[in-house]
Amino acid sequence: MRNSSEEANGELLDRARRGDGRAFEDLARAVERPLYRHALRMLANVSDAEDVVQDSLLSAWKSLSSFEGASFRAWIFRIATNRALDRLRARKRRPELPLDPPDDDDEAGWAEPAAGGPELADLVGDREAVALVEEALGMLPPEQRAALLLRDLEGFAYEEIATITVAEIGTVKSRIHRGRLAVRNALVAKGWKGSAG
Amino acid sequence: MEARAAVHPFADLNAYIDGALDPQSRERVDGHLASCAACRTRVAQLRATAGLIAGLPTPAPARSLIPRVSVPFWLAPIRAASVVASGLALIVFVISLGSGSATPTSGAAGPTLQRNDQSGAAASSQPVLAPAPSAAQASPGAAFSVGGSTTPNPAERTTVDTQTQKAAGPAGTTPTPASAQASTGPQARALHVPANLESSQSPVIWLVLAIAFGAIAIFTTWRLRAA
Repeated sequence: MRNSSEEANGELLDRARRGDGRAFEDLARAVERPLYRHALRMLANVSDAEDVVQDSLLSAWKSLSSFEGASFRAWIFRIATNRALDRLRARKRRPELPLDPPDDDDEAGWAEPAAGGPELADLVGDREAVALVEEALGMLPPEQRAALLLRDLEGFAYEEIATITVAEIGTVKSRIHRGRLAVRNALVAKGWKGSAG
Repeated sequence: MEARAAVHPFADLNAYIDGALDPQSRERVDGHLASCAACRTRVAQLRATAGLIAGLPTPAPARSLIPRVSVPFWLAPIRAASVVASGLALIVFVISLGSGSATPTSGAAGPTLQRNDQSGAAASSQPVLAPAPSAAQASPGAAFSVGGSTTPNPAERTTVDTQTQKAAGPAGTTPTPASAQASTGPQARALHVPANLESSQSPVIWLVLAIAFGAIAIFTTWRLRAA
């Protein structure tokens, strides 16, 4: 089923490249909501997220002829992520954690959970946990936030995230590791207990 | 095994969870996890954290964010048809104007005859006005001055005079406007009125149509370019 879906998308992409506006709108419709979700988590602002998504889709339509890849989804996320990062850099409204913290500090970075708290795995859907996760994501450096959202929320592979964020795979791996660790530590700091392995 | 367990692959655990390790590294981590409860705990918690992030709600945008880049298939033909229709309407309008000026010769003869009657011996100056209905409708004072200033050549006057008399022929050569109209009577009036109506209304209709089709053409062009 995934193959037929990819084939259908490939056909739409070919038609859109030839100037078929309806084909492009069909492609855009399929990514509109994930793109908006990604932009909203990146920017934490509805108006900014809407602007980024609209600008990204319009920019994609205008430059479609120069797009040579096979994955429209990865390409549009690349455009949107870059625009979101540009907005965040321009905003500079909250102090960011340093980018690239020193390596191999996992021992010091692993917060020990308090006894008696709920299991992390049980928190899915918990409203308070959702708010904490959102807050923790908002505190991450933008590049870590982008990599973590692209991986956990959008399901991109590390290679795709490397293309989207124009980074080495090793850098993507490091960003995801640190970002996820930071979110986990933020939850544990609020009293959630990590589940035993 | 103890030496291997002492070196925890903390930095690889997230990549391990995400299936992003190469086969050799994955096998190494698998082997370590089999004997390290601490790393197994970390894997579980990191996996749960990833699950929490993946489970974040997906809000829908309040409005469509998709740019309108497609145009209806009938838009381009409508534009072409509107351009052609506007052009044709404009041409018919211009033609209608021209035929409207040529048609009412008996009407033009009326005022001309009036001026001929009023000037008497100076009738030679009037015929200059006869070919031009706008001049014929000008005030008598202006007509006289125009007639006086534009008739230097007696030969021309004579020629034009002849033409005027010929033009005035159907209306009779007797000069008063009332008598001219009376001599032609209701028949001339019958000829007059429809011609006047026709010349005043049909050009306007065609102009309106030309403007309307032109507006449609402009709008459809804008819509095509906006896409």
